[in-house]
Amino acid sequence: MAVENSPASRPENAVENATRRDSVIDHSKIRANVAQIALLDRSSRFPVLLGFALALIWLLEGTLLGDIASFKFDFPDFLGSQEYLTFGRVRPAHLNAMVYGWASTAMFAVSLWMMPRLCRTPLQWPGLATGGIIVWNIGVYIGIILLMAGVTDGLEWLELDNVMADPLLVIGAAMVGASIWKTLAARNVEHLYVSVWYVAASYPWIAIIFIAGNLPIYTGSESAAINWFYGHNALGLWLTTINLGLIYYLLPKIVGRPIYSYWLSLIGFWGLALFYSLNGMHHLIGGPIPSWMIATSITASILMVIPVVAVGINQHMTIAGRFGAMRYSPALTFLVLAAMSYTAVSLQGILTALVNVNRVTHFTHWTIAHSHLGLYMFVTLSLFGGIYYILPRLIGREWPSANMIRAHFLLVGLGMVIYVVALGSGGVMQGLSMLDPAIPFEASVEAAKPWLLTRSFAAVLISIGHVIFAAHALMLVLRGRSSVPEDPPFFFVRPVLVRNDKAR
Amino acid sequence: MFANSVPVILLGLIIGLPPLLFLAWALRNGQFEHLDETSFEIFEEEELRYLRPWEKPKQVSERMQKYGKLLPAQREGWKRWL
Amino acid sequence: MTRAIILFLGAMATVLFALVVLIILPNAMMSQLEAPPDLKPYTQEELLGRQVYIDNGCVYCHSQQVRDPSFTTDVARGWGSRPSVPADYVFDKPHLMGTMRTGPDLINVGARLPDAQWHLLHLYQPRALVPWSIMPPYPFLFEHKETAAPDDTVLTIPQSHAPESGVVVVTDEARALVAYLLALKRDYPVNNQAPTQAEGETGEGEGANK
Repeated sequence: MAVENSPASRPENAVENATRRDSVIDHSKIRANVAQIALLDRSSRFPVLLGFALALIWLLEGTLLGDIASFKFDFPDFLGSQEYLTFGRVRPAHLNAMVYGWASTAMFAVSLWMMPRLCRTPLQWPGLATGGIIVWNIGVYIGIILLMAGVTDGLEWLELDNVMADPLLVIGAAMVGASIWKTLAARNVEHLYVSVWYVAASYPWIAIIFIAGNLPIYTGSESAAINWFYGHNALGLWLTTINLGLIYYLLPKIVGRPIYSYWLSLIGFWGLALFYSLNGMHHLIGGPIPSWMIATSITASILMVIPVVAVGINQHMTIAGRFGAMRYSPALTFLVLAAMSYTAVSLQGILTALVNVNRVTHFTHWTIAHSHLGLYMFVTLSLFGGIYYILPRLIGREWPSANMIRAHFLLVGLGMVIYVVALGSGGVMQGLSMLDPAIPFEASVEAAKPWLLTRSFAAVLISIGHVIFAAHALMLVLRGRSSVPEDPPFFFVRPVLVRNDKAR
Repeated sequence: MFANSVPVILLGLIIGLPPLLFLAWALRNGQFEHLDETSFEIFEEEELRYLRPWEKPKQVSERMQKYGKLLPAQREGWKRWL
Repeated sequence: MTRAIILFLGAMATVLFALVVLIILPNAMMSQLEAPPDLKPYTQEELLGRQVYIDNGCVYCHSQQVRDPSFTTDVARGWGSRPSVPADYVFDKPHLMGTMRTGPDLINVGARLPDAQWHLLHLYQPRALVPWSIMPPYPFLFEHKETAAPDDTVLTIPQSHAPESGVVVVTDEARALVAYLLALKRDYPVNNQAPTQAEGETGEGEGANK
C-alpha cells in the first residue's frame, strides 16, 4: 500500500515500491526521504498532539496529588478533615493519575507517532486512535473522581471502578491498539525493526492482563496472586515496553549509529516476554502464597538479568564514545538517563527479590523509592525525551527557551536523585528497625521521618520542574507554525536543537 | 513432592515443546536473516552523513568511510544547550 | 522478524503461559481450600466495616499477613501467634494483604487490641492515643453535633484533642469499621501448625511460605 494520493508509478514512489514486503533490494540501500517522513508524521499529528496535551494535564494533576500525599507523611493532620483528600484516597489517586493518566496517554501518543514511521505507511484509522485516547481519558477521569469519593475496587494498581471506569479504559486502549495493529498490517517494510515488536506487543499484553486482573472473581490468596500478576506486568509489559521501543528508535537515530547488535535486541525482547510475566509473586515474598509460586517468581526475577543486561549492553555500545552528543540534544539526554535508569532499577529489583534483601526492604518506603526510580527515572524521563524530540516536528517550530529546558532537566534530575536516595535510605532504616523485635514499632516510624521530609522537599523541586515543562510546551504550541518553507523540511530531520539566537 | 509428579511433567512438555518447535521453524523460515540491515531502517536519506559536532576526528573519518562525504550544517547549526 | 503473526502469537503465548502458571493452575489447586472451623464468615456489619477500610485506603499503610518465624520476626513482634496461611483469607474478597507497614500489621489486631473504645478514639484522632503516630485522622467518620440525641453514642475525647464546643458522635460507619477490626483475629491453630511454633513446608497446598 503506497502513501495516500500517490499513484504507484511516479518516481518519488520508488522508495515505497522498493520497500514493499516482496522487495529484493538490499535494505541498507533503502532510505525514506525527508518529505515522506514529514507526511507520515502528519498522518498521526492530531492524535499525537491530543495525547501529549492530555498527558501533560495529567502530569500536573498527578504531581499535585503526589505532593499532597507526601506532605501528609510529614504533617499528618494536613487537610485531615477533608474526606476526599484523606491519604488513603489521595495516594492511589496519585498513582492512577500518573500511571493511567500521564504515562499511558503519553505512551499512546509516542506509539502512534512511531508506528507510521517504522512501518513506512500513514497511520491507519487515525480517527479511531483519537477516539480511543479520548475514551481512555474519560475513563481515567471518572475512575479518579470516584476514587476520591471513596469508590474503589480495593486492589493496588486496579483501583479504578470495575463498572464505571474500567470498561472505558479497555475500549479506549483497544481502539488505539486497533489503529496500531492496522498500521502494522499495512506496512511497507519487510523486516520489523525492534521498536515495532515492543510497541505492537504492548497492546495485546495490557489488554489481557488488565481484563484478567479486574475480573471480580478472586478471593483471598488468589486475589493477591492476580493483583501482583497484574501490577508487575503492567510495569514490564506495558510501561517498560513502549518506552524501550521509544529508546531503541530515538537513541541510535539521534546519535547517528545503528543499534549495536540486533541479536541482543532479540534476546532482550523475547527474554523480557518470557521471564517478566512470571515475576509478579515477588511482591508477596513471605506471604500466604504457596511457596512454589514465590520460588518461581524469584527464579524468573533472577533470570531477568539476561534481557536487562542484553538491552543495557546494546544501548551502551551504541552511544559509547559519543556521550558528548547529550550536550547537543536534550531529547537524547533524557533518553540516555532513562535507559540507564531502566538497567539500574531492573538490577535493583532483581536484588530486592532475593530473600535476604527482601527481609529488610519488604513493607518499607524502599519499595516506593524503587518504584519511583522505575516509573519516573525510566518511564517519565523517557517520555520527556520523546516529547522534546517529537513536539517540534509536529508544531514546525523549535523549543523557544534553552533556559527552560535546563531548568526542567536540573530540577527533575536533582529532585529525583534526592527522592530515590533519601527514601531508599529511609526505607532501609525502617526495615532494619522492624527486623529487631526488641525495638518498638515506634522506632521504625521515627527512623523514616527525616527521610520522608527530604522526599517532600524533592517533590517540591520536581513539581516546579513539571510546571516549567508544561508552560514551555504551551509556549511552543502557541507560537504556531513558522514561516519556514515546507520543502524540504530539512530542519526537522535533525534532532532537537535549542536555539540561542532569536526566533525566526 | 510436587515437582516430579506426572501431570506436571506432561504440562511442562505440552507448554514447552510447541514454543521450541515454533522457534525451530522460525529459524528455518528465515525470520532471523538480514538482521543488520534492519537496524538501518530508522534512518532517513543522508541522515547518517551529517557532520555531528560531538564526534572526534577518528569517529568523523569512520563515518566518512562508511557513508561517504559528510554534509555540513545547514540552516540550523548544532548548538549546545547544557 | 517479518511476520507480524509471529510477534502476535509469541506475545500471546508468553503472557498466557504466565497466566496459566501463576493464576489458573494455583486457582485450580486452591479452590479446594476450606475455611478453618474456627474462622467464621464476616457478619453484615463487619462486611460494611471492611468496605469502609477499603474505601479509605487503609491498605496503603497497613498489611494483613504474618510471615514465617524462620524468615523474619513478625511472630516475635507479637503480630500473630503463627504465620498466616491461605485458609485465613477465604472470606477476603478482595484481599487486603498490603505491601506497606507505615503502620503495624493488622491481621490479628482484634486479638491484640480488643477495646472498641480505643479504636473509635484512635480513628477519630490517632495522636490522642499514640503521640508519635503519623496516621491520618478520620473525623469524617464521626458527626460533630451541638448536643447528642438520645440514642447517640458520644465519643470520649481527651481535652487536648476535643473540639471547642459540642460533642462528637459515633456513626454507623465508624462502628462498622471497628467491628471489622475486632473481627481480625487469626490465632486459631491450622493443620499441623501449633501456635508460636515455626513450621516449614510439609506438603502440597496450604503450607505457609518459607
